[in-house]
Amino acid sequence: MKKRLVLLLTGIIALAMILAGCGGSDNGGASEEATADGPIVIGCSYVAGNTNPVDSAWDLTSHGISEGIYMQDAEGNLVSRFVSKLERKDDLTWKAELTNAVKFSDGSDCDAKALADCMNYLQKNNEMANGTAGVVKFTAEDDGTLTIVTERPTPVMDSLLAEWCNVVFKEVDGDFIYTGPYMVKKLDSEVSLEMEPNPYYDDRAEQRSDVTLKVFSDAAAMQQAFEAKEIDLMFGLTPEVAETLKGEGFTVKDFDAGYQYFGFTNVKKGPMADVNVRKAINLILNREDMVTALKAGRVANGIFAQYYSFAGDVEEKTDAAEAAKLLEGAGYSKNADGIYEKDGKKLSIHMVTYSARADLPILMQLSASELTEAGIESKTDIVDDINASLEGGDYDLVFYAQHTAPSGEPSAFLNMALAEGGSRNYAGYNNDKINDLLKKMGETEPGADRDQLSKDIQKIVAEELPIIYMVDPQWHVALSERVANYEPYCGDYYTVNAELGL
Amino acid sequence: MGLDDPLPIQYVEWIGNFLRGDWGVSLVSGENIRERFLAKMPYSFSIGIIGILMGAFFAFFLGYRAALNRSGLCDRLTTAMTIFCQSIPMFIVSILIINAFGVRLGIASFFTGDGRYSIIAAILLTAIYSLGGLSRVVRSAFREEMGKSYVKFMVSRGFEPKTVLWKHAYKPPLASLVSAVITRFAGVFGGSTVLEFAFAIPGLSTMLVSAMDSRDYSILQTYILVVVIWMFFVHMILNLVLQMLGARRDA
Repeated sequence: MKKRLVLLLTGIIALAMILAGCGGSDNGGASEEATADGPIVIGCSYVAGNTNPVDSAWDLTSHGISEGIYMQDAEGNLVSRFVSKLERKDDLTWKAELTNAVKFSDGSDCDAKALADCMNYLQKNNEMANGTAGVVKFTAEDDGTLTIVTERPTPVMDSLLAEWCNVVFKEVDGDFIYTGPYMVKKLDSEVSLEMEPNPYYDDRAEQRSDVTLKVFSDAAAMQQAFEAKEIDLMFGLTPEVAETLKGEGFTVKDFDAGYQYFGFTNVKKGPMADVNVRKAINLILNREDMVTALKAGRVANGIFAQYYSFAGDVEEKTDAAEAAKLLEGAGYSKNADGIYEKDGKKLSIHMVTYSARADLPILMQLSASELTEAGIESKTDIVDDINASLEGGDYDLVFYAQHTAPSGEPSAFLNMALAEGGSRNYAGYNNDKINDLLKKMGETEPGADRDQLSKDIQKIVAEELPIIYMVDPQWHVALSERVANYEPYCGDYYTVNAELGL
Repeated sequence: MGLDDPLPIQYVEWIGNFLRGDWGVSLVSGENIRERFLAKMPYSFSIGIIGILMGAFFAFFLGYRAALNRSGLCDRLTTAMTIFCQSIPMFIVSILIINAFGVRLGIASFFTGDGRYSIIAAILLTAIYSLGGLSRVVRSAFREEMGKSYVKFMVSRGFEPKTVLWKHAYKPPLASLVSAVITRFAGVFGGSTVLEFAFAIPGLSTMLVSAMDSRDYSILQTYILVVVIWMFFVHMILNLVLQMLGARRDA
């Protein structure tokens, strides 16, 4: 009997060991440690699921594998390695002269035909590519000239070509190849991505090291890996972790996120439907305290990062006395407990946010305590799917984060959030002045006039408050000595840029 | 595609495809679910099965020693381990281990390299966190046997209690241990989330949490069926063991 039991137990353990062995010999692909001559290991919270440009264009560009025809530089300007001159011929037609200096990672030329082929493929297979100007048709006139015809007029073709979905690629035997500074060596979806330098990107390819992106589901684990010198770069640091690492002598940099932290107000129903209540709340929230709590960033002056020429010039202030007057003007008065109420009903603000952006719950809790101090009750919720909450309408104020100018121009976000029927205009805000300005913006070429239109819209928003501006954030990144000179920019849109490790 | 069929029919069709090896694709990434499961299963299997069996193996001997000597070293040790495991969350111990061996001493790479340290640490922690509770189950079972007349009779005839228990009274404690282990096996799939997160191990638990986060119902549906099948086989095998031990089980 004992023998049979021992045999059974041994069999089960052996089976488990065999299965364990099938798991491969590496720890999720990051098989080489962060050593001076090994790959640069980056800790992050995701990697691309596959290398298909329709599914993973955003991820691949963020990883440094793919490129848009236009990309943002560190100052927020749109630049292109592909196009030397972009000229508008008529309302719908553009002509692009190419540099012909770019090659795919297999060494083949990225000429006009290659560009036209991949752009037309994306227009057909990714409906996001049709969002700005309808269906766009690309035609190669010769090796160095591309004609672009849009379905609807747009004054900002460079921005259209900078949209994250429009990446340059080529399909070879079922595989996709790109033009970015790195190319895929081994992809283990949701686990890790090993990359090697693209030898045809520029003349510095030999100076670049291999790069491994390693996914961590837990920020504490990523911090431990960084402290143990197993990773070189750590993105997504919370303010506390950034401070801890700085205190331990590690290099931690703050960089402009491009993202903005702001609040969507419910202008359709609830107490915030009253503009005076919105104004009062806006005056109670202390943006300086928010910046202090996040340990980096600036008080927002609009809805765009302040390095853009079209950023706002709104000055946010905190004024409790003025807020009290506004609330009294709206019919609220303080009860015996010091809480504002109207017709026997307490003024209570339902604030909602999500945990994926760790800074937002901090801002929400801070705001809740400021509202309490001012005599306003609040209820806070942290949800998984914030867009479902916004669509459901069960909120008064939603704390939100978004890169509001990923293609380097303002009209996309402003239309999305403020135009009637806009995909981010959850509360159905509608303002004739803003609609007119948006229409004008859609007809104005980039430049000072267009920037002014953007500023004018942001000013009206600051008065009407369908959106409450909060923080123009800076994010934190921890760097090992090996990559201490690396300067990330544009938030997580370009996690790996061509300067990594150089 | 049958999307307009009644849900029960769709589900039966899906199970049919599942049994034929077609587990479908992820709603989010479009990847083949079977391939993803098979790639991640070894991590969770090795942590879960080896950890639990190792814990059970040592629990039997510790429980046996604890039963022999009431309030002795082993008895106190098993009590202390039970309290320790119930009062200190596993993720804290994981962080302390990584901090000690990875950060301070720098003798183990838990997140890069060949992954052996993270897997070994996760297995040991699973074993240790199983050990306390299981050893108390074994101890109680041995103590119960010690009160029975056949054991008392043999001891009164001059046999050593440790010999009597080890040679003649091991089956009921072993049966109790196997019964206790059955419920723990349910956690092999998706139950090691804390360890997989702490050691960045790309196992099934990480995939499960990610699927929940992204509402990837095709993965969640597959996971549920896999757990049902897994528990069916666990019950079948361990009930066989219980039968071999002569223990009666009605369920």
